[in-house]
Amino acid sequence: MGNRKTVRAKKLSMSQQACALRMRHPDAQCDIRGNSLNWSGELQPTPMSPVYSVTIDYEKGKWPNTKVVTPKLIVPEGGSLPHVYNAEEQRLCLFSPLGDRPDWDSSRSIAMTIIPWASEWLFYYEIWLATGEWIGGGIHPGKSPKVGNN
Amino acid sequence: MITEQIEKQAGELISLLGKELDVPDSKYKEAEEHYDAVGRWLNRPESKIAKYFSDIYVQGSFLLGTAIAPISDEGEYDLDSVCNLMLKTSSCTQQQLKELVGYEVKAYAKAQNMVNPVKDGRRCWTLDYSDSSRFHMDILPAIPNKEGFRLLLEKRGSSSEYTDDAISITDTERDSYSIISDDWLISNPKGYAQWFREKMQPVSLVQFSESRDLMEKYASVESVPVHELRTPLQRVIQVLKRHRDIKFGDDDDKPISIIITTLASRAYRNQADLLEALRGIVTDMPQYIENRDGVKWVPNPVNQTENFADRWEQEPQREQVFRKWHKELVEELGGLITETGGLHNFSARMEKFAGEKAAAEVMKEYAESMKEARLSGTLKAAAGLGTLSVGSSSGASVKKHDFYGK
Repeated sequence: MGNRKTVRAKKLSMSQQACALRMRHPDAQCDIRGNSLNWSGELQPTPMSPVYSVTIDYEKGKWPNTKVVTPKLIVPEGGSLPHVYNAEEQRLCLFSPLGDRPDWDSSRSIAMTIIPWASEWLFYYEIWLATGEWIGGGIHPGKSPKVGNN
Repeated sequence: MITEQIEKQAGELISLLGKELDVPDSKYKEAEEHYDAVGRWLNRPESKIAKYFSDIYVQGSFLLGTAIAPISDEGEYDLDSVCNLMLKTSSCTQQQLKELVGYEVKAYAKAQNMVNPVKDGRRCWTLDYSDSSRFHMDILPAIPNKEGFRLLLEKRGSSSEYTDDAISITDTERDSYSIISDDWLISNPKGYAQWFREKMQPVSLVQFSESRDLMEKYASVESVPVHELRTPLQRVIQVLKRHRDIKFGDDDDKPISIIITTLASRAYRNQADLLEALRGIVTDMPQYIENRDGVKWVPNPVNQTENFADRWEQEPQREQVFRKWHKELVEELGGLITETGGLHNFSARMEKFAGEKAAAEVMKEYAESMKEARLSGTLKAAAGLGTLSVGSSSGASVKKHDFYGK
């Protein structure tokens, strides 16, 4: 694992990404069109959780875009969804893009990172609904941005 | 998702609830200090009862390891203790014993500058520490009376293997209260604790062999104080008592702890899994309410002549409240372990079951454990639905990352 820090791993191609996604999530839909990949599948963060429909859109050279399609996420009155780029679109902020070693780059498998992280996000979302607290940790930009290697 | 997995998860959350209900170690320590201090006072040279003083010991839920923390931070703990004097029931009245102990207990409260007065109860004195440490301590004046107990049982055609620690106690409502008489109430809290311990012997043996802390501290499972064990039976009793407090906390007719404890213990089949134990006990416990010639009995297992439900005959609403509580317990437990609407819905059910604060703490604890699992590399996401689990052999390790954004 440590080698990610020292050796810049090779970028994964769209078809490599899709292959891993199809292997791990055979019931989901995964299409490549030119330079973009669209994944659409179901996630269930814990056995007692509902099933959430999730899409991941990934365009070469950009960050993968993860959205919850259904259900409509619940936002208690006066609250706002934590760790989303866009609450209306239910677009999730799953990793920090900051620093010269961001959590994610194109060498990393979406199937092994973005999807488990999305499942985790949904888990902490349910806990947040129950307790009003986001226990999953994370970075709030503007508060304490992660800079450089530290 | 298959039922088995849903129940397993519910079981994990209910285990966390059990821990949440535990009385903190610091409170156990405080309890011990309280009755030690009272013991020293009663036994000091100037004490009027020093020459008779035998011992003071804790009884009830603090002895059984079934005590629960109060629902709110402001709630109070009830500590029950027995104060044994080496007197003879043939040479003093119940009133004399009660007042002898009362004199010194009141002197103690005064010496300690306790704000609230000592309460004179039907059978015991109550020290109110609420100004300093949120404790009430019942002190039950008693005389060791193994022989009297044996005779009483014999007379009623009963017997018990738990006679050693039987005591005679006072009762202001008894006709014989102020006269010399052998008509004393008999109690046997230590015998009960011994019976209770035996009810969970196989499981506590396993627990002992699996707990390094206990093995380092004690030579054998027999020498572990029962309140330091945490068997599924103890956990179930804690959960049932909390549910009772949430549903009927303010009701004078609420099911009393000793009835819940006794019925649960009798229904316990040494299940090692908490949820299995909980389900089995909740289902079976009412069948241990006996019907003796039309009178409902929850006999004291160490004294078949004592009915813990003796008030049900005169106050039938008590039995009705018990049945109502049990019905709600069955329904709400069923709902809890079959919830499929998400953790937030489970939490809402647990709130109704065990209180808002306990439910929130359980969910936070659960979430923290998932976060720690991610950091230590043991959190896995399964193929297919990406379902998270800890320590499972399959699934993709959830890599480290930071959620981002507001």
